[in-house]
Amino acid sequence: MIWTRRWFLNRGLTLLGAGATAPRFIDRTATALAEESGPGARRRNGGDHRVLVVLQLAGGNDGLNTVAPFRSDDYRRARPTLALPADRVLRLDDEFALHPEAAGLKRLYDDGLLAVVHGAGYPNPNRSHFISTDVWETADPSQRSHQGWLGRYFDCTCDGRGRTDPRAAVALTGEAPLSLVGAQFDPVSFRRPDQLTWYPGRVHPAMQEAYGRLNEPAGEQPGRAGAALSFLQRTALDARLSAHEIQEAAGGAGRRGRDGASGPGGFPRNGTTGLLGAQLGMIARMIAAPLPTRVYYASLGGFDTHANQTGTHDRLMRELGGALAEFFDDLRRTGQLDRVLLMTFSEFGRRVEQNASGGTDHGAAAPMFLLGRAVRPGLHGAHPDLRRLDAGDLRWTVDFRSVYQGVLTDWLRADSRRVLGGVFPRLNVIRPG
Amino acid sequence: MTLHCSRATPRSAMTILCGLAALAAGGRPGAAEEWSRPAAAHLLRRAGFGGTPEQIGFLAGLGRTGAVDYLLDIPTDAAGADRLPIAAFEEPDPQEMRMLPEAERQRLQMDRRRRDLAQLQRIRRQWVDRMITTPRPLEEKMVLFWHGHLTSGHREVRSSKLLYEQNELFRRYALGNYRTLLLEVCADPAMLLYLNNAQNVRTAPNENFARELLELFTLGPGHYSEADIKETARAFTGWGVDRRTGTFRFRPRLHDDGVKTVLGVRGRLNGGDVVDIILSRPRAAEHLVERLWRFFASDDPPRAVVRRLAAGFRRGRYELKPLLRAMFRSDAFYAESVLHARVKSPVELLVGSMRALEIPPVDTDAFVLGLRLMGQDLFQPPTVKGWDGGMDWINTATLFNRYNVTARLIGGTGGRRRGPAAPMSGAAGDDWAMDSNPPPSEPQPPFDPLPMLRGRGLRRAEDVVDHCVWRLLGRSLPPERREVLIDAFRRDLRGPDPTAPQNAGAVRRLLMLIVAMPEYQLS
Repeated sequence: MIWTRRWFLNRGLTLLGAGATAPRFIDRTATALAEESGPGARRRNGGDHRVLVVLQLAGGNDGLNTVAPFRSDDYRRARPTLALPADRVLRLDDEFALHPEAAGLKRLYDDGLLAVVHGAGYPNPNRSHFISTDVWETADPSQRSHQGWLGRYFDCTCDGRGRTDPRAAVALTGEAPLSLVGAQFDPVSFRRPDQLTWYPGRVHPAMQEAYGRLNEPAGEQPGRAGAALSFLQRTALDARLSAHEIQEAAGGAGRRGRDGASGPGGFPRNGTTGLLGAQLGMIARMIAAPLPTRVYYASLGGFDTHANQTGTHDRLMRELGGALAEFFDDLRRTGQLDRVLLMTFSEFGRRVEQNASGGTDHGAAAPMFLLGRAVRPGLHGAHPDLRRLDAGDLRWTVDFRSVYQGVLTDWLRADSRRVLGGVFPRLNVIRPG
Repeated sequence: MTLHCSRATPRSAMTILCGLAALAAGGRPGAAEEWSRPAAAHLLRRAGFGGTPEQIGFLAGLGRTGAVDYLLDIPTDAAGADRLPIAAFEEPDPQEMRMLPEAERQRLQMDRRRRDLAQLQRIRRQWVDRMITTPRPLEEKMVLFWHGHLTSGHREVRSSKLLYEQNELFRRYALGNYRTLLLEVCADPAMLLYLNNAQNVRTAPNENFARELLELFTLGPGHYSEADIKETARAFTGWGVDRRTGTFRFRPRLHDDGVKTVLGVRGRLNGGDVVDIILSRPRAAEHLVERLWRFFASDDPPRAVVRRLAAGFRRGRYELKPLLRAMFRSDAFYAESVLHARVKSPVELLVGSMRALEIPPVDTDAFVLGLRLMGQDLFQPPTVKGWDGGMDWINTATLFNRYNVTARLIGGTGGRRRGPAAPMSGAAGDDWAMDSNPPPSEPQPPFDPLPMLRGRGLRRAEDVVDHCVWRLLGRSLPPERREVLIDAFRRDLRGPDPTAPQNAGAVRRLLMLIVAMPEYQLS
């Protein structure tokens, strides 16, 4: 027996009448149950069905070799073997070019869907993975905050009556990323959709029915204990319904890669997308379902290229470009392109000079990417001056919180000052409205 | 009778021990107090982490007073026999560090960080193991209480050793004197670093510690003024941490020894004086009583009970044992609004399952990760308030984790990716892991339930179901729900004898179903 929302609707069962003991998000779910389809989903989704996808490049992406000042002598002097060959880079303008393997990004740039923000960073950069990742996820360089910036966004948008539905944010990571964790808000997180089930039922399907029957509301019971039990039963049912909805939307067990066909532009669809492609593929399907989710989070690792950077970084650029290009192709095909803004971040860039192992060490400022129809395409901000380094690192020219502010204000239409705890120089990278 | 979850105690020996002890204790319930197996189960669940039917039966035989006394008076082990070998506090000399080339400095810091995180993982594992196997569950429960009340977290303290020492401090004073504990905590290096009091100096006072001391730890909002916070901060100036040894150091030159007024008392107050002034207010006792009631009993402590317990606490000069004794003996603790009405914390859920079924802990890495996935990351409470608890433990995100983590305790963790997960926010890459980590714990084998069932005369499927339900839920189920379990179990059985070896898997699956019931989420 698969417990779908439709199943309940067909039988006139709803969670309305949950009573004073039910948390409000259950009530909202109950109302939504009664209005099953698209409009209902849109209403839950902040009213404007806009979606933010956050992509973490974990390890510290070498921004200088992603968007390279390919004509600069300082660049070539600092990187005798690592500097990108000028005849193979993918030119964005006279000064800057993309890594030769980032063909997917180049295509997105040519399609007007890519904005690059030069030199994103923060004051007193920290070069520890853990600390700097926390800084980016909490948007707090003073490292006092324990909550993620998007977690705080969800804490704020919750209308004060109760807690925001966890489905508002979905992370395709084993544990909830700090960015999405608020004082009250917790996102749904999983690596594969089938993890959102009761695992014994997956292994022994015969038990699934008993589990289902034991986890549905069984009528009001008296007293405090009864109220607590009712709450748990309702939450259990809601969790199962949500999980089922997410699984259907994400396409079951998250297929890796695609079918063998080529997509637009002749880019081969097999073998270029890997893990990131699988994540973004699931996200594209969930957006199109549509799930009521407002923020998705994906993560690609391997960027900590201390040694023999060339091969690794080449592969990462190929994967990044390919997966992003396919993602936007999917969105275009399913008519979701206008709904989505994607933002990348990495805990730091890397040092300007290459090290003795053919790699680069932890640095500071690096570019951020924003993708979608709502961006003003092109290169934004000032690239850090290669002649005025900070102990060998690129100096930041844009506080990353300005980028977050733009996302919050211009895209999510939220009170960014409340979320970020301040106001930052305004960036004009996203078209408001 | 020991409450130790033993790996090796044969069942028959346990039964004999229970019987003897019960005989020795006289085994008669207190005349005026109601007592019963369900009440004993409730006490053991709340004041400890639950237990086996034998342990509950033993407490049931002592009467309410006897049972409470038993839990409180288990002798503590002196000399800290369980102490982990902890690496000495390590903070490189800033002068030396400055002289090193940048890359070298980065490498050293990364290295130190890696080792510290590895040690943190060891400490987490040990604490979980301790909670599962301790013969003194109330003591460990109190350590957990103090950890969530007088909070500190690793992200801010950045030293696993200091957090370990704080944990040992809580254990030393878990059931001791509250005043002494407070004074020790005010001088605890982890606490001073967590709340920035190490930076609180005469010329630049930092109010963080003072504020939380008054607002969260001792009095609660509305019972002090902003001026009191400022003056308290002044009183604690100079209370710092020696950066090289990680020990408490009072620096008179940095201390503001001028006249201050805190809560109406005037004088050249130092930090210790402020603690005594706080404790002279009736509110201090009530605040702690309320916190304890919320941790052990329910979300809304009855005013009259709080007042009575607080008065006794003050009269007893802030000794914790008499307070807890009175609390666990009170009728209010066994009221209908308290029984089965609270959501178990992740620790209670995990540790309770292990103790109720007497599962020997093996894969402690998985347990630590499981606790984190369920929302209770030891040594990293989400905020200085600790864990809100209650209904907040449950939402769509955490419910599956709760069900699946407990299912894994029973079904085993084989096939899980080896190696502890990094105790920091999620990153897909493992580049900076973990080569100096403790070796990953072995997978938890599937639980063998048959020894637990043998010798009890459980012949039919429904007998086994009833036993497992009683063992795990501590109460009986409505007939329809009981039928669902019996039905599923029967269909899963091979052959007529539910306790035969070929049915070990079926019993495991039955247990997994029970722990996936909403009732099991409640204590």
